[in-house]
Formats: sequence, C-alpha cells, structure tokens
Amino acid sequence: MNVELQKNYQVIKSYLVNGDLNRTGIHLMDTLNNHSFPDELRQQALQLRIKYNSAKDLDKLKETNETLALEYNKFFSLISTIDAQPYFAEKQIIFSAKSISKAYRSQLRSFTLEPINLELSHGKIIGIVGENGNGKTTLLRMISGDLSLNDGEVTYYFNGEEETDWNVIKQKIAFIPQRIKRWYGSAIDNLSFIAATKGIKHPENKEKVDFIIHRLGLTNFRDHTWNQLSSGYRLRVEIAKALVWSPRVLILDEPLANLDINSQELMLDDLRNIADSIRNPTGIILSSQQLHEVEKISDLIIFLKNGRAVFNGDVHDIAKDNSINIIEISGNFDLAAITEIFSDWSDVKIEPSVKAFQVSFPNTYSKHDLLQRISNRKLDVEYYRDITNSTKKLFNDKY
Amino acid sequence: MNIILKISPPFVRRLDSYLRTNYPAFWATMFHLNLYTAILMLALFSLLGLLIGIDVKDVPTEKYVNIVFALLFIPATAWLIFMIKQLSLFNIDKGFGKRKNLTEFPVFIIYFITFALPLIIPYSTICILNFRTANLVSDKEFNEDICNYYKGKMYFPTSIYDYSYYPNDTFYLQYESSRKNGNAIPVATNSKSPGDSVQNEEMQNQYRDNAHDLCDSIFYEKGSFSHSRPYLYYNISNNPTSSFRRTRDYSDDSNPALDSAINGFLCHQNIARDERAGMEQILLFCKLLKKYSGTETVDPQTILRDYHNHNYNTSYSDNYLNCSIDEVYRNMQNINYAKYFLSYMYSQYLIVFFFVFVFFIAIIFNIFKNVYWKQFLLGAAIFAILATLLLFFDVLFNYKFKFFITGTMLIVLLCIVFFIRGFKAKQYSVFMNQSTILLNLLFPILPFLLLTYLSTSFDFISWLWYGTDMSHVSAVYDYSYYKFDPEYYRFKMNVIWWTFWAGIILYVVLWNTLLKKLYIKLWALPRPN
Repeated sequence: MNVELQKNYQVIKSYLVNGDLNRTGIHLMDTLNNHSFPDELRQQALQLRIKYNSAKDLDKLKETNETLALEYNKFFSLISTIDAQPYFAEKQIIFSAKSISKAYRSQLRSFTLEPINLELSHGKIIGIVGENGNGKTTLLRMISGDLSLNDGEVTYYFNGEEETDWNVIKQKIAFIPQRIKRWYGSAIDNLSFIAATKGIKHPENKEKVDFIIHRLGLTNFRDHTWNQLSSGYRLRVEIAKALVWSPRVLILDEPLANLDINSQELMLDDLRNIADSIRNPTGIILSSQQLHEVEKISDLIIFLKNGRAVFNGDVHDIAKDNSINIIEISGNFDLAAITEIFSDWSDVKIEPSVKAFQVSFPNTYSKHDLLQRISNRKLDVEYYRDITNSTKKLFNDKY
Repeated sequence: MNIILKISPPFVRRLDSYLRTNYPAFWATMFHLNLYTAILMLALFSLLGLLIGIDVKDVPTEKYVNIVFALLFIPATAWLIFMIKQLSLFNIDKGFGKRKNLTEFPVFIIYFITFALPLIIPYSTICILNFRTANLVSDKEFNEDICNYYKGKMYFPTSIYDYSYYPNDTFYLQYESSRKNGNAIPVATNSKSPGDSVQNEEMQNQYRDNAHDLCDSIFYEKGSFSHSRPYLYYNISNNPTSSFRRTRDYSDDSNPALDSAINGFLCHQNIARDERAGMEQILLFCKLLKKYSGTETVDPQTILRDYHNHNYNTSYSDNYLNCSIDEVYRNMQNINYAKYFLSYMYSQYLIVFFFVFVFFIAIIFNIFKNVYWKQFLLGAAIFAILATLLLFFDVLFNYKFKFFITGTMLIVLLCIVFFIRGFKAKQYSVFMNQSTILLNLLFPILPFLLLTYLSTSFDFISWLWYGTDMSHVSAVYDYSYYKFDPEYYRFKMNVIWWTFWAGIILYVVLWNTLLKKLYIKLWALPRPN
C-alpha cells in the first residue's frame, strides 16, 4: 500500500476513534477523490456525508450519531483493505511577485506599500497578516490583477509556462474579496453555472458540484438563495464557487472575518486540505487578522506593518529570532502586581491591553522561572500564551 | 427567473438545467425561459383577444383597438424590464469564464429577439380581435353590403350635398361624361362657385342663374321653385367606395369593379328613376340598417314616396335614421379596417423604426453587460454631452450639419485609435473604456455617418452617379425647387438604404465580436485604484 494512502487512513482512523464524523467524512471524500478508487465507493462516501450533513443541519446528530459512526466504521473497514493509486499532480511554482509596490496619494490619506517579493507553489499557503490599513487587501488586489502596480512585476506560471495575459490568468485563479458580491438564484444553480463557464460540462459538472456541496457541508443549503443564507454560509458558497472548478490559485481576503470560532477552525482545516490535495494541489493566499489561526495552516507568512513587510518568509523562521520572549498573561492581578513579579529583571516591558498583559523579556530569563514566580505569589492565572514564535510578537514596537 | 421556473413544466426545467451545465453562454441569455414566457403571454393575450366582446352592430373602432394595444403594452413593457434585469444577473465574461470567439454573434441576435418579443406579442390580441371582426361578415357578403349601401344611399339623403340640379338629362349626361374624364367638379346646389374647371359654359351660366333660387326652394321652400319640386340628380363620385380601401394609402383604388357597378346603377337611376329597382334597393338598405345598427322602424314605402315626390330634404329622414345610417357606415368601415388590418398596419418606416429601436436596446444592454455600471452611466453622459455640444455649435454658427458630422467623424477616428491601442494595453484606463463605449454606440451607424460626411463635404452620392449633377431647378409661380431625376433619386435612396444595412450587418458580424474581445481584455486588466 502506498505511503500517501496509509497516511490518509491513519488520519481518518484517528478521527473515527475520536468520534469526529465531520472530519472523518471530509477526509474520506478527499482520500477517495485523490486516489483511483472505484466510483461506487466515492458515491457511498458521498451518501454518508449527505446523511451526516442532513442530520447536523436538522439538529438530529445526537440521535443518528451512533448509526452513522457504525456506517462510517463499516465503510472504512471496507476501503482500508484497498490499495488505490494516488493521482499525483506535479507541484511547481505557480506565481511569483518581484518587488511589487503601490503608492496611493490623495488629499485625505497617502499610503505606500513598500516592495515585496513573493513566491507561491502548488500546495502552499501564504498567510498575509497585519493590522487594518497596513496594505493586506492592496497586496492581494495586486496579486490577483485587480490593482495595477507602481513598480515590480507579477508573473503567473501555468504548466511551467509564463502567462502575461490577465484574461487568461483570471480564468485560472480565484479571488474572494472580503465583501462578497451578491449572487442570484440558488446556490447549486450558481455552482453548476460557474463550473460550466469554466468548461466543466455535464456529467462531470454534476459530480463536481455534488462533491463540493457535500464536502463543504452545504447539503441542506444547496437550494438556498443569497437572502436565505447567513454571512458564514455565503462565504462557504463563495468558496465552493471557487473550488468547484479547481483554480490554480485561491486568493482570499479576510475569509475568517465573519465566522465564529468553530467555523473558523473548519474553514482553515478545509483550506489546508485543499492545498494538500494530491490531485489538485492549490496555491492559497489569504489575509487575516487572526494571527494565531492563520499561522497554524500557513507555509509562508507575510506580516505587514505600515505598508512594509516586517516579516516575509517561512512560518518556522519566525522562531529564529527569539532573543526576546513574549508572553500574554492575565489573571486576578493588576499592573502593579505583575510589575512587582519582574522587579528584579532587566529589559522587561509590560504592555497592558483589554484582554491581557503582554510581557517581553530577554531570553536570558526562563519562562519556567516566570511561571514559578507567579505560583510562589499564589496568583491565579486565567490566560497564558507564549507568542515568542508567533507573528503576534511582530505587533510589538520592536518590529 | 425562479418564478418562471416554478410555473414551468418539467421539460422546461430539464432544458434549463441542461443548458446551464452544457451551454452556459446560451443559458445566461435566458432565451429558453424568455421564449417560454413569450408563449405563455401569447396564449394569454390571444385569449384576451378571444374574450373581448364584439358584435356586428358594435364593431370595435380603430381607436378602441389602439387603446387595447396601448394597455397591453404596459405588461409587455414590464416584462421587457424584468427580462433586462434577469439577463444582467448572470455574466460569463465578468466571471472570467471560457468563451469561444464567435459566441457573441448568436448571443447578440438572441438579445435582439429577446427584446423584440415583448414588443411584438401585444399584436396577437389585436390580430385576433381584428380577425374576429373581419369574419363577422364574409368578404363576398361584405362587398355586396358595400354595393347595396351606396346604391341604397341614393334614397336616403342625409346631406345637402347628396343631390344637385341639372336643367335636363342631356346636361346631366354631359356633366357626367366630363366628370368621368376628370374635367368637372360636382355642381352642388349650395356651392358658392362652380369653379374654373367646369367646362361647359352653358351649364355654368344655367347653374349661376338658378343656384341661389334652387338652394332656397329645395331646402327652405322659398324663391322661384318654392311651389314646385325640382328634379334633382344624385351626385356621383369617381370612387364611391374609397372609404373602404384596402390600405391606408388614399390613392389606392382597390374596388374599380364595385365602383363601376355602383356608378352605373346610380347614373342609370338618375335618368330612368325606375321605382321598382328603387324599391329593391330601399329594401336592401333597410336590411343593412337592421344588420349593422338594429334599426327596424323604417317604412320603405315612405322613402320611395319621398323620392317619387322629389323630397330631397334631409328633414324627411329624421335624426334617428340619420344616426343609424352613420352607424351602419361606421361599423362597415371598422369591419373593412379589420379585414385589411395588416396592410393598414404595414409601413416600411414603422418596421425600420421598430428594428432600429430594438437593435439599439440590444446594443445598450450589451454595453451594460460588458462594463461596470458607473462606466455605463458615464458613457451615456459623455455621449449626450458630445452630441449636444456638436449640435449646439452647428446650429449656433449655421454650419448646416457639416460641423456636427465632421466632429462626429473626428471622434470616431480618435476612438478607433484607442480601440486599436486597447488590444495592447497593460493597464485599464477609463479613457480607453469610454472610447470603446462610444465606438460601440457609433459602429452600427459608422458607414452611414461616413456616407453623410462624404455627401455633405464632397457631394459623394452625386460623384457616385458618374459625377453628373442630376438635379435641375424648376420654377412654379414664385417658388423654385430642385427636382431630381427619378432614377437619380432611386439611386440615392438605394445608396442610403444599403449603407444603413451594411452598418447593421457589419456590427453584428464583425464589430460586435471585436468589441467583446476588447471589453473582456479591459475588464481583466488591473485598475489604477
């Protein structure tokens, strides 16, 4: 059995054991779709997913959970003995931007996005983070060809060949702006129409639409119109509209802005899975202010501050510069109390915020020592987070 | 369109789904649903045409039919607006879908038909209403009725213009002969002047001597004939049935045989005064009165007695009868209109106007589909401002259209330069977009504009006519005017006509596709902000 499939089976099994039927269903569908399984099995996985979505949306999950879990287990036992070949797609560089910059000059405001270099390959996710008004949307619009550049160049590569015609490029990339444009008719009609405009005709059109509808948990919302959907589901439909025709690059501006915490997690999981697809590995670029969440799924991070990329690189490289430890902490103590804890430490900076105190201190001091000191003073800690390896530290004035 | 789909039979829904997943460019035109709606509306409007009550005694007038048409136009226009809104909701190009180069050609034609349908369908009600009206009386029967009306009308004088005085039969026949040849005007008893065209001098003098006295004695029982009844002759016109034409054209003489039969009878009766034949016609006229107005109170003997006693005074037929005769005439005329409705409606200019109107709606919609709506409004404003400015200066300095057409041609040239440059553009520009919109509006009439420019500046059409000026000045009284050689006039009209159609065809076949390519390119280009 090939390694890729084995890995997938392990992931599915872990979800099954934990009783997470949502993720089990999604991963089963993705695994079957990425490998050469018979169509009947794909259909069975789809039917199980439909059952799950229907039960979930009708609030009958508790009653049907046991039966569904049994069915999933049975189905998993059936497929886990099958060795299917993966549909491997070549992973290449799909997009590069060299020193792209943009300057706005107006009477009210002037803003400059300083030169940024970027490179995206199939299956990679670039997270663009930063505060409001720092150029995230500007950068995404430049990448997606919506906004012209003052300097630099954006190049897309399709099948290894450079493409400069924006009409061709835009036929192959999907850009989902923060404010989604209203669509008309039912969700499913829109999906099949969009897929058809991208050259996916019947019967493949129906298969793809069905797959994406159930994959993204839109089973019971398929016939809903714009007015009948919440903003979160509108975003889901928008993503479905983009994914149904398998774009080479998916660009999302603040996709997490209107979602609750659970939906954010699901959305990010979905995005990671979409990027990781071995059959259609998609390059994803997304912007967000949810730093921690975006970091979890991104391969590359760009942190924008006042139009400048204060960090642009591999997500793991953030941890390289850890001469300063940064933690967030809150509890039954005030500024005076926490200042007292660090009274004998030098170069400590304490910044209070609504949620917690952000404390920066040189890495010559240990984080364990800090926790020990708190414990010794019998202070209750409600919230503690080490952001030393997170882009969140980039908000710190040092950067 | 969901509303239409909900009331559609399954096969329409299946077709909708099939087109959406296989031919999205065609689906986005919603032609299948529009056609289905058109069929539904056609059935509804036709049903309305069948339900409107009509009767031979109360035939719908042309005005009534026009009002019905105008009322039906309200839902038709609402439907048109609804269709325009629906068509603008789905757009392949703005979503960067795949499209074939020639897709725009059939799509534009579909738009044209889509916008023409709502404007055509109200005609179904009118056609059915007219068809029913026309069939109230068969053609053969109607012709007989017309014949009997004009023959019988002789015995039912309703106007002082119906009869005229002639001294004797010879005079009358002489007059009739010259009238037939178009040399005389009727010698009406109350005419102020017989006119210069009365040829016979003797008859003219006789008329002058007696006209005043005749008028007084016949109608007011005064003067030299106050105690006797003069012998009058029923007035005959060359085309008595001209009110029952087959077209709107007044010069059309569509019933020469009928006219001849009627005139033959009237002329003969003016001399012979055959009371048996007269009675026959009176009875037939009474039938017409009954048929077309429901009047049954006429006594044929009284009518004949009046005729016999030379009582031509209209007061002998009371107002009620007068109204009834009018009613018969009106109803018969309305039936005649219904019978020849289509030829009455047919007008080359009306059809061309309708075509151009729908064509430009399709063009404007096409522009709307290709640009951002703010650009669309800006384009409309620029078009209006440019046209107003050019016209204003043309009128102000009395350039006699030359400034307007030269200015327009310069704008077209400028737009064409931007049109060509647009295909190589790397960045979107409002100027380029606007010049494309202007060009889109002007391309269909570009050959026509060019011809107008060449004609106003270089007398191009005359040059085409081997360079010979085929017009010459004629003088009539104090006025002089140009009179063209008919051949030259026909040639000129043909050149204008075919130039106009060349513009339309070129637009549909060539320019529209090229414009679409540029619109798509401009839509995809990065914007400055």
